[in-house]
Amino acid sequence: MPNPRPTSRRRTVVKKLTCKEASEIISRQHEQPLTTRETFWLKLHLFICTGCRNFQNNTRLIRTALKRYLEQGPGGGK
Amino acid sequence: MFATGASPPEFEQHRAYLLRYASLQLRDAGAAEDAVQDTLIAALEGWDRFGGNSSVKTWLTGILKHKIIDHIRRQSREQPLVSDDSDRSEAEAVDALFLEDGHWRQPPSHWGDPDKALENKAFMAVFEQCAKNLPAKTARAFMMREVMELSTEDICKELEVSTTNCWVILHRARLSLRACLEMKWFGKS
Repeated sequence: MPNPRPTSRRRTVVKKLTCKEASEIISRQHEQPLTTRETFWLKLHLFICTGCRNFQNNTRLIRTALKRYLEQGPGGGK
Repeated sequence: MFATGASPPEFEQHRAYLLRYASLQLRDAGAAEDAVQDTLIAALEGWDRFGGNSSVKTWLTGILKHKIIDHIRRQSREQPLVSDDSDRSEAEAVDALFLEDGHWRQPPSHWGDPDKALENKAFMAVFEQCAKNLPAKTARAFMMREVMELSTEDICKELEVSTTNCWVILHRARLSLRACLEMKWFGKS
C-alpha cells in the first residue's frame, strides 16, 4: 500500500497564488526580502500574469514618483 | 542665536523640500510649517555641532524626522486616529478590486515609459492629489515607509499595530494610489 504522506504533503506545497495574494507579496517586496518559496511562487505567477507584472511595475513607479515629488514638488516637471 | 552669524544660507534652499516632506507625512499645512520651523531653530542652535559628515540637507532631514515623530506621538495621545468609516470604506474599495476567486476585476494596465510621466508637471499634480486622497491612517503608515523610510518594524511600533496589519495597510495604500493614478492619469492618455 502506498504511503499517502507524500501526496498530502505535495498538495499543501503546490498552491498557486491568486492575483490578490501575488499583489500582497509584490507590495511586501518593498518592505523586506521575500523567502525563497515566496520568490518562486511569485515568479511563477508573474510568468503567466500580465496584470500582476503591471502592478509590480506600477508600484515601482509610485515609489520613484514620490521621491521625485519630494525633490521637485508638483511644479518639477516640464 | 542669530548673533553668532551662523545662519547658513543653505538652510533657505532646503525649505521647500522640508515643507513637502513634512506635509506629505502630517497632511496639515500648519503642523508642517511648525515642524520645519522647529527644525530650523534646532539646526541653528546646533550648527556648531554639525560635523559636515553628511550633507546639510541630510542633516536637516534627520532633525525634521524627529520633529515629525514628536508631533505624531503628541497627536496620537491627544486625538488618536481611530478606525472610522473611511477605513472601512477603503477596505471595501480594495476588496472590490478583486473578484471572489482572487483575480483582478480590472487588471492593472501597462503605464508605458515611466520617465514620460515623471517629467510631466500635470502628472505630478495628479500624483499629489492622489496621495492626499489616501485615508489618514493609511497615508500615515505609507508615508512613514516611503518618505521617512522607517522599517515596517518601527512603523508597527509607532502605530501600535501588528506586523501583518502593517503589511495589509501598506498593500492597501499601494492598491489605492495605483487605482487613483490609473483612473486620473494613465487610463486617460
